[in-house]
Amino acid sequence: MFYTAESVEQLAEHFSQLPGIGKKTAHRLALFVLKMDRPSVDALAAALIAVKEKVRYCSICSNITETDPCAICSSSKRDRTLICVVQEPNDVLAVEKTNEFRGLYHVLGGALSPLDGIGPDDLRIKELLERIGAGGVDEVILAMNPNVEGEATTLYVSRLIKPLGMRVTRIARGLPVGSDLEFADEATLSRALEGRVAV
Amino acid sequence: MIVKTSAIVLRTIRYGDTSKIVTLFTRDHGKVAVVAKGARSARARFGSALDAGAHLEVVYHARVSREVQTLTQADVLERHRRLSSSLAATTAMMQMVEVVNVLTQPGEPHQDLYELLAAGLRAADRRDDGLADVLIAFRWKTIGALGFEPSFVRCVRCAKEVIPGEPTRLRYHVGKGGPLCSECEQAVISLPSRAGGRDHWSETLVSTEALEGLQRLQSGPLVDAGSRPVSNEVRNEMESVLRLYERFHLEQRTPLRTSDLVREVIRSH
Repeated sequence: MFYTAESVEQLAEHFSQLPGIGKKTAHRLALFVLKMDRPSVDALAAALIAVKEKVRYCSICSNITETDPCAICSSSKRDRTLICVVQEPNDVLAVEKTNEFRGLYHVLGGALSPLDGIGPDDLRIKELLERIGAGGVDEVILAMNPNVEGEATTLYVSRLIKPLGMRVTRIARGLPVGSDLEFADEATLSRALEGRVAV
Repeated sequence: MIVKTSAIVLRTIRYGDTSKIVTLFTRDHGKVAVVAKGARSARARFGSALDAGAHLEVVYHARVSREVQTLTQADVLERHRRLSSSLAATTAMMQMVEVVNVLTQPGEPHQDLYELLAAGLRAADRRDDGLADVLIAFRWKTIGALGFEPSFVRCVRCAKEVIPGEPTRLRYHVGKGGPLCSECEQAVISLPSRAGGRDHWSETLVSTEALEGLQRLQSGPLVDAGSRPVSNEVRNEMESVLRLYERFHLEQRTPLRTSDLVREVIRSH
C-alpha cells in the first residue's frame, strides 16, 4: 500500500538507490521535485538522460567525456611529456582545480585491492603501459590515495614503469594546509618529515 | 558500553561520502565492525590509522542490538614502516589479514590468533626475502591456533617418528592430520576407508624434505621463517598440503583473493 501517491513513492525509491541517500532523504527529495516548476523538472530529467546518452570514457586517458578524445587529451596547450596517473575521474577534477598541472592524465579506474577482489587486470594498467610505450613521455606522476590500496597501486605501477626508463614520481604526502601540527597523527607527520624540502 | 581495546584492522570499506566501515580484529572481543565517521576526509581525526594491517588501540561505543559499532578513537600502537613502502610486504600483510578475516566469526575473542597476526605483521615488516615462507608458516600456525594443529614428524597411526630413515615420499593423511609411516601405509592400504583404510579424498604424497620444511615453519618463530632456503618444488608441495588441509578442516573451498597477487609479487621473486 502506498502512503502517498504511487509516483512519489517510486521516485523516492529511485532516489534511495543513490549513494548516501536514505529513505527519509529520498522522500524529502521526491516531495521537493513535486514542488519544483515544470521547466526545472524537465531540465533535471533531460540532464539525467543526457548523462547516460552522451558521456563515455576517453579512449586515451579513460576519463569521462562527451567527446572522444576528451578535451584534455585533444588540447594542444597540454604538456604531452607528462602523465598524471589517478584512480578515478573525480581525482582528475580535484587536480584540475589546482590549476597547477598542465600535463595529461590516465585514469586507472580504481586501486589495487585484492581483499575486495580487485587485481591488476581489473585496472587500466595495460593501457597505461601501451601509452607510455608509444613514446614521448618523460615523466609519470603517480597520484593515488594515501591509503594501503593507493600505496600498493603506486608500488605496483612504478615497478612496471621504471624499467621503461622514464622519471617516475609520486605526489607528496603530509599535512593538509590550514591544519594544526599537534593534531596530526604519527604516520602523516613522519611522512611529512621524510618529504621535507629545503626553504 | 564504551570499549577500549587493542585491535588490528582487517578490512575497510567506503561508507557514505567521507566515512569508512572498518572490520577490526580486537584482542578482547574478536572481530568487530565499526563505523569511522569522517575517516576519509583530509582532516580526519583518525588520520592514517584505519588502513588494513594497522595495529591500534581503539575506543568504540558498543551496543548489543547494533551490528556496526561507532568508533570514537584510534591510536597507532605499532608502526609498520615497510608495509607502506614495499609491495611484497604489503601483499604479505594483505594475505595475513584476509586469512584471519575469512576464518573468524564476529564477536568470538581469540587472543592466540590476535598475537599470531601481530607477530605475522611484524615479520612481514622486518623481512626483505623469504616472505613466501613467512606466509606459509603464518597459515599453518593459524590452523594450529584454531585447534587443527597438524603433525609432520610422527605417523598419525602408530605415532612413530617418520622422517629419519623413511622413503623420500610419504602418504600424508590430511583428514587425520599427519603422515603415515611406510609400515602403516602398507597396513591400511587394503582396508576400506570406513575401517580406517585409505581415503583418497584427503590424501596426498609428500616428500620428507617438504615435511621437514613444514615442521621447521610450524615450530619456529615467524620472523625466522624462510631463513633456510627451500627449492620452489618443495615450497609448492608445502603449499599444496596447506591448501588441502585448509579445504578439509576449515572448509575453505575458494582460494584466497590475495593468492594471485602473492604469486605474482612474492612467489615470482
